[in-house]
Amino acid sequence: MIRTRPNLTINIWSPLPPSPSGIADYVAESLPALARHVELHVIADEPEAVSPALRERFSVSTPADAPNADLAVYHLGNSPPHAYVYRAACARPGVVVLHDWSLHHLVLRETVERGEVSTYLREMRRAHGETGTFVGRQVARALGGELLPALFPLNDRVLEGSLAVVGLTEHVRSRAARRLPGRPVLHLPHHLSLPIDPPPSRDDARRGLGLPPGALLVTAPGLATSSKRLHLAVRAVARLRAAHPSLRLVVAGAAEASLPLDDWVRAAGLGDAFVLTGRLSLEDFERHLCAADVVLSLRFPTHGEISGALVRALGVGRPVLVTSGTPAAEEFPEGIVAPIDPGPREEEELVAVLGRLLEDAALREDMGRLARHHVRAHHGLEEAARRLAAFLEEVASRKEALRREILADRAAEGGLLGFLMEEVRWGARDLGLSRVPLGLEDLLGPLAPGKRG
Amino acid sequence: MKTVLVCAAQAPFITGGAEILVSELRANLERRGFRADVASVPFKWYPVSEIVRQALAWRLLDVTESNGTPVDLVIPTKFPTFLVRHPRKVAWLFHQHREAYDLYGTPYCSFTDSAEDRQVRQAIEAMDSASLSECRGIFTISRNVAHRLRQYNGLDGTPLYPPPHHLGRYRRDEYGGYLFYAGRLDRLKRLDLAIDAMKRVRSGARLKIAGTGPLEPELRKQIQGLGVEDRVELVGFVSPDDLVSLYAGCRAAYYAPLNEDYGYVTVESFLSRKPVVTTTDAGGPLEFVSAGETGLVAEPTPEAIAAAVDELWALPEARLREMGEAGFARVRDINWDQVIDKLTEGL
Repeated sequence: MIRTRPNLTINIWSPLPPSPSGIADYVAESLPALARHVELHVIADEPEAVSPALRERFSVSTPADAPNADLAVYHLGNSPPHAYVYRAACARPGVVVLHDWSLHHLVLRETVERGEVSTYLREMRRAHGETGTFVGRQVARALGGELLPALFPLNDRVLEGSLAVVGLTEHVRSRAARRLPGRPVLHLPHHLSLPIDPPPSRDDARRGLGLPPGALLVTAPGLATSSKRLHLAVRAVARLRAAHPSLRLVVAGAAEASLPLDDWVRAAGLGDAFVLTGRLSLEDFERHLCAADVVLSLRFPTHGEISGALVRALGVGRPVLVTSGTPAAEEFPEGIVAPIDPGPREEEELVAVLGRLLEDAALREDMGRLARHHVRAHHGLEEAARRLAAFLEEVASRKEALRREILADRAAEGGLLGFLMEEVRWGARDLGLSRVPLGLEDLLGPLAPGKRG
Repeated sequence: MKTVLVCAAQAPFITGGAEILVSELRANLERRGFRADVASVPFKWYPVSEIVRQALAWRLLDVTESNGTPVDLVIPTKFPTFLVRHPRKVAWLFHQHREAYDLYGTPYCSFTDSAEDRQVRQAIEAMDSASLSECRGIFTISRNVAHRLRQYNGLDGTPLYPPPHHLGRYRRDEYGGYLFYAGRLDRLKRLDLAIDAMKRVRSGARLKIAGTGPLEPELRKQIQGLGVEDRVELVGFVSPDDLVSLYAGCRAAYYAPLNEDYGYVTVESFLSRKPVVTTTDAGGPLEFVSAGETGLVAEPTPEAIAAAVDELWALPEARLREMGEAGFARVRDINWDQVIDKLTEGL
């Protein structure tokens, strides 16, 4: 076992399997590699619910029992299992690993869904100014649709309160760096983790899953949600079946209960050519990726996330279609993924690109080979752990200075002084100057006599 | 030469009484030998959530010196200029942000009962109290403004009346056949009440309204709707000469705003030796108008105002002259020298 600094102790705040969060899987995969560099301890909301295999291998405790550590690493995603992580990250500065750029749904759930609408509106104003107040009112009344929460990420509070930020994509890294000039920010490419490695061949995978060996399979991996453009995928596959009668669409995962997948399939006349697998083991999930001829990883709107399934699909050498303009499209060099524009001609573009790939097995192989080579070279799990450990080492060495900077211009929340300071600080944040000490407490303190926090 | 900086908050492209007053203050400071300038920062008071941030801009300014020249005195005027920091700050308070105070909860207030708006209101009150407490002296443009300051912020202010714009030019020609109002046409001036009253007068009185403002189309519609085009005339913007002439030729002035800070109309009318018809809730005008002595004071209803107008029209000219002279006696000592003396005292 080689450690960068054996006595660097890290508390990892994250849900772990069998939590429904994909981030739980990500963290579980990374723990063994990271443990080779630092002493780590996991803080889970419900340790007793964590898979026994992980509990045997790693120390897991509740937030209340979190041991002292050199650093806290907060894995944050835009979903309810991360609520306790968000609260801790806001309360005690640590290193935030942002799996999603937008935390809007998480904050919404922590506020509006608990009846605290004004707290949510305050957060929206704090993060996005007057526009935030206006949009927040719409979203709080469930009039915001899918797009508005994606456009207003509500991550400022946690970013500003963090010693350092880790982004799994360059998209997140560059935005975090712009928000926090001078603060340590790391791009840590999403690691590749394959439960079966080397992966099975296409034929072996299909045999193992009972899928027809000669069919053309287009696979959409992961939980089917409204943002994965499956209504278009269903129609596109149905249209392409005229030229490719063996073509099938496989959703390798479960589906959100509210998603009218059956209606879409019926309307498109896809019938038996559509397969919904339900929740899969990680091994079968990988087999489905290996069994595919083309993988769909479309997503709009995006919350700035990158999908672990996408990295796995590329890692097993399959051509993947992604939504252009999203982190998934921007993360890889040209030619690794095929971007589809989410505009008014999305379906036509999907039919054209998918049709081209289905017609040309050699093209699919070439794209897959490029993808596999790139991901194996740049998304290795061990290398990711080594880079993260080195980054944590650097942050730990600057921890006190960073903490002082964070606390220097911060007033207690809730008080009049805090309110006044936030009203001024928003302008600075908007200019990307969130870290510039403004000396506001001295300036505004006299306006809130006796109310300093 | 001592330097004095007058602090003004202005909505760009809008010029009203406050802007004129600031410019006259500066001119009179210079006339009295001070080196004076005006620091003006735009202020946007809507939506409510914007107010505190806009106000705090004043707190961030350093006006203690300018290009090496010390600023000896700053004179904040209206909200939020008094948030400015300076070791010698003497406020001449035109008014506070009234929607957070006396207008709160009235139809003239845009604050809602939401937690966010309540927080803004509390912040305004706290900021006002703290920043005005920093002043070496607080003068107010009227007793009414001083009264509000005491009522809501627990602070004492000394009334210091500003002279009207055309001081020295007002005159009396005759007690003519019309009531006169001059000023901005906005809701708080309650001209709708006067127009409604004119429908009900029996004496043949007419009303001339000078000025412009956002309510003009609405008032025009009201005049047509009530069929009082022959009794009420919107004369629009008038030149200084015409303004003085309109005061000089009217029978009396009409001025019944809601809890007005001060009200130039009263002073201008009295300087023209004309009585004033006002209402019991008019605020500033009531510091000068005494019922039966310098004018008439009616309840704020169209019926009561119409009755007061008819009563005025029934009075002989000698009685109108008597009221006008009594009014003149109350305002004749309002002048710029005493304003400058008070504001710069000890400098």
